[in-house]
Amino acid sequence: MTQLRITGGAIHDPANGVDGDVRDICISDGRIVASLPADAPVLNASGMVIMAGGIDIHAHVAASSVTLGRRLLPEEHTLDPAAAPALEDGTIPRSGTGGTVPSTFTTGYRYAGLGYTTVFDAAVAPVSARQTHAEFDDTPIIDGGFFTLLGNDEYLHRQIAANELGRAKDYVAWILKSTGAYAIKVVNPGGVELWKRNVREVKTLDDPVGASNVTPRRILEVLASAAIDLGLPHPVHIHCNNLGVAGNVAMTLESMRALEGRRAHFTHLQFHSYGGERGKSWSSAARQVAEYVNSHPEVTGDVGQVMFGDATTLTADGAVEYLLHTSTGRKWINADIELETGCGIVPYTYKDKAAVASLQWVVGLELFLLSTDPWRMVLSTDHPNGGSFMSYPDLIRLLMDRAYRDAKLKSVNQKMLAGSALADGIAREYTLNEIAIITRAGPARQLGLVHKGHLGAGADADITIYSRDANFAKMFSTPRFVLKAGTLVVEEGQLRRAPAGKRIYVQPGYDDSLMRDLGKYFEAYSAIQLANYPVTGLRDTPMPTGAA
Amino acid sequence: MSDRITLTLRAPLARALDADAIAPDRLAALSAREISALELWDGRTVVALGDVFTVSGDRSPSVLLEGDLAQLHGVGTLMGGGTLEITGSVGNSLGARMRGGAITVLGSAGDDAGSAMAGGSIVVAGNVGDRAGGALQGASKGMTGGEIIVRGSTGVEAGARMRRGILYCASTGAGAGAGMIAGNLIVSGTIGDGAGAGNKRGTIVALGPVRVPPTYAYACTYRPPHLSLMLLSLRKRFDLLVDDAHVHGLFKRYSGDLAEIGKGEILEWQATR
Repeated sequence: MTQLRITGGAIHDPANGVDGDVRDICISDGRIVASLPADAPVLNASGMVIMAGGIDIHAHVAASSVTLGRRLLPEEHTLDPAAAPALEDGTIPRSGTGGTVPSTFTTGYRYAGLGYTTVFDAAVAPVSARQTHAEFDDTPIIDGGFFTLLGNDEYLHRQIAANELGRAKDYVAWILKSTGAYAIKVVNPGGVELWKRNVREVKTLDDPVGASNVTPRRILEVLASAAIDLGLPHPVHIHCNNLGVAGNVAMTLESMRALEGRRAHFTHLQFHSYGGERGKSWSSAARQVAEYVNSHPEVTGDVGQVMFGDATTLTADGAVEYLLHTSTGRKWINADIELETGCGIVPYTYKDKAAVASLQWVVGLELFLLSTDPWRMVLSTDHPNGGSFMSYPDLIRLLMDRAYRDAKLKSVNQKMLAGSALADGIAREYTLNEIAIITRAGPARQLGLVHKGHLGAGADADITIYSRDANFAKMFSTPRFVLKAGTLVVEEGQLRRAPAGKRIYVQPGYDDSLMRDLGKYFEAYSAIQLANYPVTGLRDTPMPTGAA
Repeated sequence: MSDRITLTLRAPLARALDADAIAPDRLAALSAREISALELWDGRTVVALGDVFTVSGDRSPSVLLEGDLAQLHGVGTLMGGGTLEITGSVGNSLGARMRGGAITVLGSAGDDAGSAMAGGSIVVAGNVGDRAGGALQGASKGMTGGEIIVRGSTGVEAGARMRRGILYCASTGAGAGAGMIAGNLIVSGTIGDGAGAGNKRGTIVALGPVRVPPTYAYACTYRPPHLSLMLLSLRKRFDLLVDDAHVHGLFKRYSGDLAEIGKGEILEWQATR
């Protein structure tokens, strides 16, 4: 039984109402406990800042799209070789490659090196779930889970068309269970299916997708209800239609209104908060989106901040990637994942000299700074789409340090910034507790992870300890100590241990009557046998589902 | 501190060694002992530089490499300054991503010489392999600055995807200057097939025979004044055998690649009576 008492640190644990108090944290067998015997070993954290381990609610780290991204970017591998760390726990240290899409082991090491201990992959095609589990097996330290793509699923659309909503819900449950996923993801509802049919734009939430009664609105309603009815810990996770297009705020707000009163998570809202008109003008509409989210407690979101520098856009939204490829001329991948979804990848560089990238940067910061409830507007860069997770410390500095932010704002392209809230001046600076909310406590609450994101008794002992530094980017980029399930993985700023992380997933129940119809569908259309489809041999205990 | 650091190969290399530790500006800060301790890679095994080379001299930005180094790869990677002289031949990725300084090779160099280089010069007395001055695998840009002078031949795709700088050689393999974004490729002898295919901008100067791709269009015949200056400068600085007839010659200008944006050119020298 391993025990540890952490003493002397200022604790920022907003989930338990603790804001910088100095008190001990007691760890026993990988969990936080109320007390320990007086002779338990001690870790002195005097003068330091203690938070729960970071939780990334939306990143792309272990999907088949990520693997394709790695294959597309050999030059990044040459430019950022990652040497194997010097580990002391007997696990085999692995070298790898970095860049915007790091190799699996390097992803685990680098997240842990930033004090992040839980990461969700936001977009996994159900048919490739097996590969995602294999990649998470090779991504050490972090606990991992994923959301599975259902917004453009042929079988689901058929059930909506036939008004078989019970079967639609059972199918969702079967997909989640068969893939070992954690939540439902919707990417450009209906739009990817339309893209496959050579329709490049979803104009309204009521555009027909094949059948007249299958529309983006219906898809959102059915999947939001399924998440609620199945009692999933995380609500439906939505990437709205028309990502990255001027004037898309109308579609974003319409999608939110369509689900009014129902729990829903709207992701990378920065990419969906633009005013203006396609091909004509472009402006920030962050204020409207922030106002809607602020006044609707059933809605949660993450920002999807753009950070200047290299990124790799990588999404199920093939139509968007076509636009990006044609506008940049850069190499790309576009794929049809039969019956289920699509995929597109384009490497991209956000330049502060570019008008659109500067606007995107401003829109993201505005969402952070205009949001009145940090619990419901949490940090993400949609890694690697808006920038690498390695840029989180710099993003935290932008939020905490107004002087730094204003200086940076002056140096970016001003062309599209007229009238934006940030250009008008926003004084707000995030506090350490607010940072703790948007990087751990908030994501944990949104994800329904009761044992994570806080430091109360019973929580997983995932803990990050920072040395104070006036430069918050420096402070958050090099934690002094990181504990994962009670194991010291980072000691004095050095990665020392790399235990395997756990898988976070659900296994909801469904009515077996689904299987007869689904069997016929697989026989007729699928390239894989129904019996071979489900992932088997899942380890770790699933999270409970069902009515509370 | 000595005038020069000399690294002499102890015994012929049996296998390829990765030597990206060897760059004069980095060696300039090191004692002989520290230089001997630098790591070379033999597959996945580390070898001390001192086990492969005898080291004489220290703390100098002037480095001499002696021996047949055709299996020594990555020499001068990311070099930022100083001079590096190689008496024999050297392996692949010579001066890859270098930013400054001068490399001189009395023998030949392997593939990817000056790959993605940004500044400085590489002068090779013999031949070089494929993709000289080209891009890293997968990257969109080849060399972005500096000069590569090859007195002998280059392999395939010399100067492919070049962004800026000068690559001069006596002859090329296929695909020379393919996908150039800008920059100058000057060839005193024969150019292989597919030269300039897919170029956006950039200049390919053919002093010898060239097969102009069908996606290039004849524009005019003229005496490009900038070319005279460039050839005179290269002749003077690198002691090249550039004929006065070339310096003052007439050139046919072909615009291309018209399958791309077509702002590139092939300048074909015209023998006058």
